[in-house]
Amino acid sequence: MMRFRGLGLSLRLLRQLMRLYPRPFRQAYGWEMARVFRLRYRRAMLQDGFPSVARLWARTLLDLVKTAWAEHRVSCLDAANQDRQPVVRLPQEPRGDKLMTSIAADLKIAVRGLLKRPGFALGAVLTLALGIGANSAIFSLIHSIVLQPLPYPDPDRILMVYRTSEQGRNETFSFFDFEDWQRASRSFSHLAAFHETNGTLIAVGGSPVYLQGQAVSASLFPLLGVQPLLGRGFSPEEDREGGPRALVLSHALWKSRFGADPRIVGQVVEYQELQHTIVGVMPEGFYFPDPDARFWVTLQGNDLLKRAGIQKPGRGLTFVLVMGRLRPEAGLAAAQAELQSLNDAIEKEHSIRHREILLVPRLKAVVGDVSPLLWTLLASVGLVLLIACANVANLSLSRAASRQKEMALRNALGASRQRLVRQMLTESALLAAMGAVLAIAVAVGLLGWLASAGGELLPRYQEISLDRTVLLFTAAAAVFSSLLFGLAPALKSSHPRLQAALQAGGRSSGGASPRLQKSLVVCQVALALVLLSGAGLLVNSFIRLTSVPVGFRPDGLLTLWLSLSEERYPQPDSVLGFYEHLVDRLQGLPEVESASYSYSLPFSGNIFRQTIQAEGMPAQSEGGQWAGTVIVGPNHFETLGVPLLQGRDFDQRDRLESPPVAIINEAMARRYWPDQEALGKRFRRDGGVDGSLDTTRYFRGRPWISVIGVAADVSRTGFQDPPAPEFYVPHAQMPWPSAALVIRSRSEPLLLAEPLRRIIAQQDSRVALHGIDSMQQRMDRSVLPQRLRTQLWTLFALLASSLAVIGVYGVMAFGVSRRTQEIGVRMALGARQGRVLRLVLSQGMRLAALGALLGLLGALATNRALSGLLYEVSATDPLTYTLAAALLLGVAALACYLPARRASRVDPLIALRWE
Amino acid sequence: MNSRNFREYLPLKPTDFQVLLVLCEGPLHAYGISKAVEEQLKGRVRLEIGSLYRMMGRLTTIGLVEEVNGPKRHPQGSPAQRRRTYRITKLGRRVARAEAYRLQEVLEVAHDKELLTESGGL
Repeated sequence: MMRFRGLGLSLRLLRQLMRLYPRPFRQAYGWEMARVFRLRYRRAMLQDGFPSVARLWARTLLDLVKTAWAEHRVSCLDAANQDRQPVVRLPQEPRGDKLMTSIAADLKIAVRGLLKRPGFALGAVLTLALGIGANSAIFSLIHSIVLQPLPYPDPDRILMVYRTSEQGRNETFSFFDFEDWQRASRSFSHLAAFHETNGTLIAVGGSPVYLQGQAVSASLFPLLGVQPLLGRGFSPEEDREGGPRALVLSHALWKSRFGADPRIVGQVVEYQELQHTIVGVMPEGFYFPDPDARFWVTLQGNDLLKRAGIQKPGRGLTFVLVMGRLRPEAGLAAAQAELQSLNDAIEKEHSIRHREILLVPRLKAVVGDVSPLLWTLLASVGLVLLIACANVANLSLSRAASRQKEMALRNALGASRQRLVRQMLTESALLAAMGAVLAIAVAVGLLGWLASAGGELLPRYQEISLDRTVLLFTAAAAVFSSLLFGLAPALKSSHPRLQAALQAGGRSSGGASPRLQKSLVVCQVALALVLLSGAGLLVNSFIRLTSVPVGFRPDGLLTLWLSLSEERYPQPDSVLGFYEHLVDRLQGLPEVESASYSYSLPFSGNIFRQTIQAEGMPAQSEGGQWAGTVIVGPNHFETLGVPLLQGRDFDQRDRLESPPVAIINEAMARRYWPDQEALGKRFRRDGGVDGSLDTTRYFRGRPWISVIGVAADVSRTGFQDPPAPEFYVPHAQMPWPSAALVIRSRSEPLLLAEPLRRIIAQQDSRVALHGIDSMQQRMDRSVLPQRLRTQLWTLFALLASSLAVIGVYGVMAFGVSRRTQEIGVRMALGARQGRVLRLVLSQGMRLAALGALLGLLGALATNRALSGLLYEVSATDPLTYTLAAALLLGVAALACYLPARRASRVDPLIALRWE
Repeated sequence: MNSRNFREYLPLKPTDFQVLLVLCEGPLHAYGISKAVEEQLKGRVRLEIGSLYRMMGRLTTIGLVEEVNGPKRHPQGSPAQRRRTYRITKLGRRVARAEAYRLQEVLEVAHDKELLTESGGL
């Protein structure tokens, strides 16, 4: 006879599982059912082996649970109809094989027990809900951002092409490199290039709107494998220089700006003053590279090179990002080697500095450095959950002590130890289940708060959801924690030496070991201190970061960007006229203290860079020092509140035709004229050029530029970066069509937004504004990631600390109430109040101090993981650790003091009559 | 039970009807019944063991089928390990026939509404 692997085991398992059925049903059909199962098992094995068997098992299991439930219901109904039981029934010890019935009984007892002590139940459920909920929220972030594949078919094969050189990692390439690779590469089914573009979009009959989009190669949509909802993607003709201009809309833009018009394809819109035909609409939920990109045009159609003012573009000008989809048969290493060899050939031909090609999965590129942050956060909420579990375990231990008599009685009446443990675990599971349900609400709340606190900066933010996986995680966390906090008390209180409790007569002293409770408290304090000191480091770092002097007065400033089209304002005079007129009108508003404009704003990061040569110094070699160029309008320094340290501000003397002048910042003065008076010195443009400025009159012919003033350093990119050398150029000498308006208001700056829009629209209705923000908002946003992680970490640390302190309080209070009699005796024998107070206090504080010591050691070991996130704070900063420990011990002392005071006020007479 | 009007059983549950149809051909044990039903329905319905025996128990209780040689019991009362064979009762046959007529009427209505022609189909 043929042997079937696993059959014996399966049958044994099945027989065990059939215990779920009521006994009569099992007796009538059990043997036959097993027989049928065996026949099916053989048939499945013969069909296609284990996969079939797995399916058979899955179906059988499901059916078994369903039918067992149904049979129980039927038999209960029968029983109810046949013989009426007496109304009062003692909780019976169900026979071991009636698993279902006994689980139901356990649950009933558990519910009754919890209802009897609603305070305990409420405390435990809330604690668990906070612990589990915080974990669910952070896990949902990790799940949606890091673990979930990108929403494209076969996303693992999509790779970003990066390069590394001595100067570090760079992500951009020359468009010509991309074209060469696209022609020659065999490892990729598609290669696509893309580059951010933004500008004013005007629909027929619509108002102008400034939007961000992407200029892409036609291969992008096929590469991603996503079909447009309407129309088509880009055709090869549209991808050629001089080809027809086409535009694809995102679903969001189609809905908001075009009323979801189903006949949109074929309509013409104006983008950057050029007519584009809408050829397609992407489906809902599609985004690339992020949801801020509202439309796509082709790189060639976007005339990028021409727009950048570059007449003879070379390989050195890199601005496109390159992405590829690996062919199914191609491997990562082979593809990397292939691109490297193509790249090497290009380098040789054009004598470019060497670059290493690096392929990075698209998901990793999108998620970036958020992933380590999220994992550290998960670790921190994991600690919170551990502390929460320890708290509930302590609560249950205290409870178990008072329930010892009940347990002993049940044991004496014949309940097995296993039975008692199961009973208590059921209670834990019930608590955890209720905690988990509430935890979902906590998680939703936390994610909501995150959204309002600027969570949209997280990559893939719109994909974050509490889906089935997160719910499963929550359930798993609940099961895990119920075992964690339930097992110890359960084993403890069902200990065989229970009879002692009965013999102790009326008193419920002794029992659950205080040592276990105490060690739990020590652990809690230690874990809380690990988190608290981490939070302290982050807060410390954040304060240092945001108190770096910024070099200007940010309060009351309103900022926004606007851009004039070169077609409508071709002459320098017309540009100058527009801005001067605008500022005049703005300064006429009563709320406006002063107004100006400039090419670059503090905390915006955008700046032109030139290599320059100071007079009397040798010309620098290529790759030398850069200085930033900031074009500013009149009153710029006064409006921003930047102190002018030396010299004068720009004024009427500095005209288009007069010799070029500049005001430099301190960093530039230090760099080029150290230990000298910079005022009156001269400098000029050196070899390196940031293409766009090349053609301006100011720099043309490389005239000498005189320094007429020195201004304080201003944070250009953010708090973190040291100021770079910069020089300011008067707008009158370098009229530039796009600018940022800066307005200092006498009241709340954002109130000016509406009048401002009106004034600009009156002056030219085709100018679109964007990025209207107060300067404070702009600065806040620049530190949002730091703020978010500091806030989250602090939140979790405070949660952990409060739980730990509650734990200390619980144990001390319980200890005091149990020792009331002993304290009474001491006092009757002459102990003073102060002495009792000290006794209790010192006991509690010894625990807390031990915990703090362990916590400090743990924190020193683990906080090194934070050092990458810290700004000018060492991960072992002694002050932070001292403060964190002092804070925790202080609150713990308070938590010990309350029970200690109660103990010291014990009336010996009452205490001796206790119980 | 037999005195009950057979119409009270209508409409039959689809699987009950299938089982009765199988048993019309002759007595069969539960495994054979489940295999035959699955073949008739081309595997669209599977009767797992729990559901199978619950259903056979129910059909026996309401008198549509009967056990041909029921399980022999040991003197102590524990069940004998023998398999049951089921046979359709007279009542079962009448109910099955009535169900078939009922379904035929339903089908005729569907046919008149042109649900069964190609153009009316999905």
